[in-house]
Amino acid sequence: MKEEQALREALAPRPAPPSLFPHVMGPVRRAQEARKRLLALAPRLSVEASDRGLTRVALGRPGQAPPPASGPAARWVTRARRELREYLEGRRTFFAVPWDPAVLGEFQGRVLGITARIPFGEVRSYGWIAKAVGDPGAARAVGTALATNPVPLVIPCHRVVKSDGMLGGYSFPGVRKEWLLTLEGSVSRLVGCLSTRILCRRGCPHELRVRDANRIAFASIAEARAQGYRPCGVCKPA
Amino acid sequence: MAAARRGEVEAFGALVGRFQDRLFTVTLRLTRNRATAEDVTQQAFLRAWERRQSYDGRWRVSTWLYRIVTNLCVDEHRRRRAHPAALDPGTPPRVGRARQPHEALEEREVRDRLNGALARLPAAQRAVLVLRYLDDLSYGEIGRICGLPVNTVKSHLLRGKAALRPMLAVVWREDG
Repeated sequence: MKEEQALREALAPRPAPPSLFPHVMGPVRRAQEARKRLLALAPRLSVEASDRGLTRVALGRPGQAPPPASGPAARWVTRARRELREYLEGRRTFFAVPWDPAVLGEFQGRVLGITARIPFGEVRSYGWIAKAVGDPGAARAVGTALATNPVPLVIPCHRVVKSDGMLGGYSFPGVRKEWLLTLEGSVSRLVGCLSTRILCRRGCPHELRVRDANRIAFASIAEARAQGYRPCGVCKPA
Repeated sequence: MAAARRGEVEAFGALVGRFQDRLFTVTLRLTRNRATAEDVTQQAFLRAWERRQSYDGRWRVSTWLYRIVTNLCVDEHRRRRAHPAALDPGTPPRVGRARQPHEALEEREVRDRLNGALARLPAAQRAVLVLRYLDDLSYGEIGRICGLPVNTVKSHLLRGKAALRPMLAVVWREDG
């Protein structure tokens, strides 16, 4: 039919601009590189804890850290190890293990308390944190407080960047802020289960049990609701 | 796709190479602006990479990619409607000077006119027409991509074609 033919010709594929391919594959390669490096990092983390929670996360062989002093401390260490591994593998978007506030000073405690509430995949500026702790002029002091964060990753100091869009420093040796932000940028926060139609935050105990074949990622709660998913009652994605 | 899903960058690269022209053409038709189309296509591929785990093996890879790209075009359209200041003029539909039907139209001009007519169609009809004639997709597949029942796909196609018919008629006559 002529009509069909004319339409087909008019709508024939046009060549994509040559810049498209590198613009897609560049970020993909960087994300993959970041992922590989972070996966290698997981077994090299050393974790310490007190009865109340984590006191230190650092790079080193696990054997280097002093053994936990008590039963509860040992449990926090085991749990933190598991959560850190899941986070670095891109299977977790939040930490449920607590940290011990006693190891932080007063100002640092406030700064890190605010920092801990920055959601996965988002960033804030040093100035924003300073304002949030009630001292708008203290952006530099905020930088210092973050640089001495005893529990990096668990308290996400990598989500604080400079207000001009540059990443700013990161004092966790062997790890680049860029890798963590790339990882978080490429992991969807919400996962639905095709069989139960329940929506979880990534890292929820229910979400971790969902089989690969039943997994579906969502960009927003609204998108999931529109497809008939309900939020999980345990991790409460809202 | 299976290899790309396991995180093999090269396999994904091959996928991008295979589909980039088609996805770019869809975004070009839907956004009517080259720069925006390039941005949206890039975003679509990156989203596909991020969500490769959520690819449902029952669908064809092309269906999945088209769905991502058409959804992004809808988002883009909404965003621009919400911020009219950011609206770019796009390619103005060409209003060719009045010609007698017997005047020969150059092929390019016919195509431009058709595209102009296409650009004036409602977005849903345009999307359905583009998907149907770009890649010969079935009604069912188009429905899955656009989230529409098959009958709605058919009626969009019919209406879209009816709207383009005056322009197509010129093409037939020229073909004699």
